[in-house]
Amino acid sequence: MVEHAISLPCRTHPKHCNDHKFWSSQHQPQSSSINTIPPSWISQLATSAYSRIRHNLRKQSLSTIKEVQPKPDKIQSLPVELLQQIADYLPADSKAAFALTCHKTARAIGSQSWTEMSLGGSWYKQLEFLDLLQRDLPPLDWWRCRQCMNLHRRSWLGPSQQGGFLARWWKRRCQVGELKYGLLDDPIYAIGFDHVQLVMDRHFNRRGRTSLNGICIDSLKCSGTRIFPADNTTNIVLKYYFEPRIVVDRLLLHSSYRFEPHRTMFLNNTSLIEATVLDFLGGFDFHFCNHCSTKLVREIENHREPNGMQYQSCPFCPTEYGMKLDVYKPTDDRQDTLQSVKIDVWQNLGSGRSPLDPKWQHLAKSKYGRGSPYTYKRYGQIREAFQRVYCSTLKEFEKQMEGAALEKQTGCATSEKQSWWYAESLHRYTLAHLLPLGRNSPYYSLSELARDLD
Amino acid sequence: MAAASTSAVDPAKKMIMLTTSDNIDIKVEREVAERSILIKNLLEDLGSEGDEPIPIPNVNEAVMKKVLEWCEQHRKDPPATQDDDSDSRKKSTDIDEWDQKFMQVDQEMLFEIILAANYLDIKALLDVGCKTVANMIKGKSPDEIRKTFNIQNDFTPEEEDQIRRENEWAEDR
Repeated sequence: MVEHAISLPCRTHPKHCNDHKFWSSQHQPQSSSINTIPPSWISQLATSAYSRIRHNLRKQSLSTIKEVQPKPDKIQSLPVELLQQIADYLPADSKAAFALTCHKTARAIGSQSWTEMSLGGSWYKQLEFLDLLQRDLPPLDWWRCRQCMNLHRRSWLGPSQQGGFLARWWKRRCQVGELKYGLLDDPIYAIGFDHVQLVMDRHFNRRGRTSLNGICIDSLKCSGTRIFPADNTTNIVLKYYFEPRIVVDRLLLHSSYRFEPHRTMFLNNTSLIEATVLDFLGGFDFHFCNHCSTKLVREIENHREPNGMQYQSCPFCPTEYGMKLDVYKPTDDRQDTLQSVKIDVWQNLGSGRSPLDPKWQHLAKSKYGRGSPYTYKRYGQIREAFQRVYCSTLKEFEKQMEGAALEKQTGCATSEKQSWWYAESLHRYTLAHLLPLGRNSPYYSLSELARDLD
Repeated sequence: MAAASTSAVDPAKKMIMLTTSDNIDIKVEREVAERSILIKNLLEDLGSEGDEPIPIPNVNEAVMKKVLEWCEQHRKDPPATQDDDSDSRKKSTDIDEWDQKFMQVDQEMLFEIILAANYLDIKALLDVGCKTVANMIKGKSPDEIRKTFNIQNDFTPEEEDQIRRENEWAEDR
């Protein structure tokens, strides 16, 4: 049995990623540990305002005491009531941390302190407590998820694979690669079938609030900034984010990129031929699906309607994208204008049940072995489903549609018990009607939309 | 001290003798010593002129001197009221400047002072001690607290795992 490790899709961690918060366990008051901090972490520490606050707090508390090598376990010689009295002065998170240091304090303060911490209490206190705990864990192994109020592993072991001949054959057959975003040799984000499978495992096996299967969908979330030098006087700043969402039992991924030129040098009375963002992107092989890259922007630009997003779709995989050109003034007092390009991409990653799922097969085939063209059931379906359908499961969706239909018939909510639910679906219905649809796509109903996702 | 020149009849200024655990006699003004509820009650119970030394078997000379230094500074403080036990007291960990300086001692002494204050029943000093320790704990992770106080982590990995599982801190594995 061979187990293989799967790590987060975010490839820029820990340097650039905003979402997968990173703590260093080396960040401690002892001066001896300073030398052991790897250089790349120092900048991380320096830029983290939060850690600065903590540091100040610590400095403050340390200033009252001379740090002399203490005799072992002096604090444990205190009777229980004194430990309790000390704990009374502590805020909830420190109290729980203190209780976790050893058996004696745990008994004195009581396990109540940390169950309170993890079950009740305000969410930001809980997050602070998780940050505290994370400092004790290897920093590269865990990240704290705000949505789940939990610590997640940064990498985990995938399902074990058999090592025999059949398995090798199967593996080759399922050899589906991964979806890379950004430059192919240095992607900013890469998602494999394992990711989709694990996220959907959790979705399908969820019972109540907790589920041990799979991984949290926010593991796939990612956002950050990259800078590419365009020419001598300009840098192109890329701001991007990845937003996964489960819609009617399918995993949809919305990625958004904004390319903005930033001048690095200002020359007076000299006219320079400056590359525009479009020029830059035209020669830049930045992929937003395995088959399409920013080289296509010129093409898109030629067909662009004024003041609008131009939506296109990838001919080889379930990917829809739109591009928008913004003209803006860098500062109020300047005469010239700059252009920025925004690209939004919606992809249907399927239900993650099998790597032989045609959607995944289309998505993951590389640019060169392009394979067969993908047939869309309806143009613009993925984007609209992502924006308009708010039900993660098919069951929930059907329930909502029934409710909405019933409401249409009766004209009002029938029972008190369900009225909140009707209000909700009514709101969604109105939203669905008001949302601008693509110019070429005739209006079609939500149920058709959901059906077409398959 | 200017106080020494005042009338010798004043009972508060009367000197009493304390014997520490290491058999050292310390002379101290009665008013200062009476910051300790234990000594105050003892003196009242004895009712004597304070001629014979009072044994304090749980506190050694060094700690006693430190405690008396604090009592000397705080001799004029109003006595603690009963409602000090309420929540308002517990929230604040502010320590006044003199006390902060006073508490700049090594950890062993700090805990000795806390134990002595507890034994001698000096509520205000005990509070200062506990606040000082609380300030040392505040904002630290369990491991950092262990390092600060040199506490042995006596949780087994299984127990740590158990706590984590029970509380859903780390639901993924």
